[in-house]
Amino acid sequence: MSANNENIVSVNGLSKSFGRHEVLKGLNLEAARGQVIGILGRNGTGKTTLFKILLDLIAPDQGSVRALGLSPDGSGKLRGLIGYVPEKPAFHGFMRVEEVLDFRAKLFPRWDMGKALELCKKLELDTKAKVKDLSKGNTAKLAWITAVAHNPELLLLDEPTSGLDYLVRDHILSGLVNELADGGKTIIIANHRMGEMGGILDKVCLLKDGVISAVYEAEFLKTETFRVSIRLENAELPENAGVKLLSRSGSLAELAVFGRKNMENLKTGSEIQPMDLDTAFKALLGD
Amino acid sequence: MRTLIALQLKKNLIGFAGLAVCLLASAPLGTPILRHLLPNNDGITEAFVVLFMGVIGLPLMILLYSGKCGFQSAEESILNTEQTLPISQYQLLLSSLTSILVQAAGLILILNFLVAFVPGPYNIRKVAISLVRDFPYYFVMLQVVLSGFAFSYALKNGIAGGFFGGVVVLCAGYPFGMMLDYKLAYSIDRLTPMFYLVSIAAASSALAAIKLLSDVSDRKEKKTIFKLSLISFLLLAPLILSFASLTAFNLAARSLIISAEDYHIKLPAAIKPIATNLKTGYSPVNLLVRPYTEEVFFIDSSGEKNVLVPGNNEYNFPFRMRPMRKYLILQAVMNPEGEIWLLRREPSSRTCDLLNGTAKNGLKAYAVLARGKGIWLLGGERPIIFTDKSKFGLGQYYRCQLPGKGIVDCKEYSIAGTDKKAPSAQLPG
Amino acid sequence: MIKIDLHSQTPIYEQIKTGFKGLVQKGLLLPGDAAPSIRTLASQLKLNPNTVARAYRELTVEGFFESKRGEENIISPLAKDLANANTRALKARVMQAATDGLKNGLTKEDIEEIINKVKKGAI
Repeated sequence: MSANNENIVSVNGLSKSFGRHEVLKGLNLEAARGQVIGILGRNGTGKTTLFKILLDLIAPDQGSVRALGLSPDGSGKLRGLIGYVPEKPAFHGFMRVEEVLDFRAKLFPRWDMGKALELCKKLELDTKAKVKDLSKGNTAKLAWITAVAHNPELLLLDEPTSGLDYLVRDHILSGLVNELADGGKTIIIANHRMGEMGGILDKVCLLKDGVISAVYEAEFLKTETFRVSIRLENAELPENAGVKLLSRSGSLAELAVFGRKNMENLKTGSEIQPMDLDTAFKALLGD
Repeated sequence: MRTLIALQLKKNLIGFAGLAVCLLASAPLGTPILRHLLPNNDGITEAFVVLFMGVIGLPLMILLYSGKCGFQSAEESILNTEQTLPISQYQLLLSSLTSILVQAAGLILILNFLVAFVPGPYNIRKVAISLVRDFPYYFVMLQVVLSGFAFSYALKNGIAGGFFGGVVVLCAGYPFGMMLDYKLAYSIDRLTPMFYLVSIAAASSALAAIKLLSDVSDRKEKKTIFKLSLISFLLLAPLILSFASLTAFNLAARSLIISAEDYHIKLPAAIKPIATNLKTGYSPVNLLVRPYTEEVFFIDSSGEKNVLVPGNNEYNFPFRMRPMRKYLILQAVMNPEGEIWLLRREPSSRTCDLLNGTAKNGLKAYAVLARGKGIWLLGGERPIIFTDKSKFGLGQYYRCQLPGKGIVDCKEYSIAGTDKKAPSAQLPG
Repeated sequence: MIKIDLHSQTPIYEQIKTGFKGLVQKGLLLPGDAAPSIRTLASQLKLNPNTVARAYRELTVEGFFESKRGEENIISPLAKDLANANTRALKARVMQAATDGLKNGLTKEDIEEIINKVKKGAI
């Protein structure tokens, strides 16, 4: 157990290259206890590498990493304390679901079999089914269950709802909320559809060029972002980091505006609407 | 850890069962097939097939099997099914290795069972039994598993890995055979621990290589030149170690000096009386020989080394692959003036060389004599040579030769086995 | 049921409170009914439980919720009055805004257009 005033996750100056390809270039990230943090980044920008370093699967080149009061040291101990849902979950095909759970019960120190079975029932996952026969949705359910059944203080979720149908997605998001309701859980989640998490997120970190280039409070993104349609006579766009061009046809342009203060110059002669999260995220990733 | 090993065993259950079945069926099925295919099939029995399996078949099976497992451990799919578990990635590899060893042990047990019970000539069965119950066999199998696994994990390819691993084990095993020859030929018992040390070191280096490979390959640590060189070194270590210890044996053999007495076949009882009566003139020299170079010398009364036959340094050091065999006959007699008669046989020759000369001026070839079953140079007024030309073990015939200056005078001289009379009275001339 | 607009200027916890008051107003929730647990509501609306917890805390402080016989978050008898008060306050605000608009140059048609737009959003 880590002290209450210490961050659950603390990453400083993390760098990692694969050969000549620099993926992470001095990344900093903090997550306090109980926070839900979204990592927003395009594919191949290093979010999986970041997760793998946090999980002690890959050795960092430089920088310090601390999670749950421990530093990754190659022993795999951290993996017993973190709940991880990988982007492409996989289990041994010849095992049945119940065998997967039994197997993990023997390896994870805080495994709660009662909880695991209860979740199977709740998510309608047949414990007798063989892993190789599971659909993508059921595999995702199993991945979720194995991640949370040992009651970890930290959850790392890599695209947990990607490619899943509405019902399974709903299950997983409800599951997330339930874990939060239990209390004391910190969640770091990378999601292509970050918008669906709008009600749950506390912060969104933008992963760009190998660093966290910006951190936004969820409240800010929900209440202080606007879509503004204006007429741009000359091809000039207001020079402002908080204003991004969404679309343009002729003189008519639509802008994404971040921050109420950036609205000042645009109020007259413009149509203003609140911006939904998905559009906001798209705009942030855009440049 | 046990859970993991159980998992690995379960994963490969079908593969293992297949191998076991192949092994069990090799004798009953292989024998008739081979007999049918090969025309000269007198020697092909179940025992022969099983011996073949022990020497070639099983090691090859285990090599390819551990190669496949090594490749499996390097696959992407393992990342999410196994690496995300709370055990270190190295431990995961060890669990895979352990399961292979357990399965290999099972197969060796089956082989043990087979060699004891298959029909076939007793001598072949005996050879097979001693093979699979001998300590070196297990060490070799251990190294086959470790090297096969390490190479295929490094190369991410089961066949290539198995091939290179097999080559390394084979090439490393060859010096072991040589070392054994050396040990026996030169009685170098003090270096016996080397066999075990090298085996253990080779196994350890494979394990160390796998750990470093895991760091570089799984954990994507920086591939420094130092690390990669170290890994290559460790993978090739069995080769380096066994050739290094072969060198040690070479050095030990090279430094060995023994008395020429060791080369004698015992003087037959019939000649003893003659030998002990020859008191004046030429007397035997305490010859010393360095078997490695075949240098022959003696230490004279003033402590000086007198070389009679210079050593042969032409074999390439340190890898002299064929140790010298102790089949020389070396005897010398010397008179007070320093004249020496030397009798010597080359290892591969059926004849003896008789040399004459002095230590100072060197020895020159004098005559070539047939060896017979034994040949002895005795001292006295004039040196005497006895050879044993016994035929069919019935009676003993001694051919007595009296070297003078020039031509060797040959006279037949025989003792009938039944009268057992001492030959001394019948020495001609 | 309660509908949350993630992008509204109104904080989510406020929207939850307003939502409950609306349900009581329409008679869908009566005094004595138990509100869904924080966990359940958060799960349904896909919200952070802390947000729901905050709303519930404030509703309890305001007297909208009460604890009865060991159960929490029961609609209290005061709920209806509070809801009505809320409604009255809301109505007053809309009235004020419309009046201001008319005073400052908006036409009746403008006001209607706005209301139509809001209606479209509300349903």
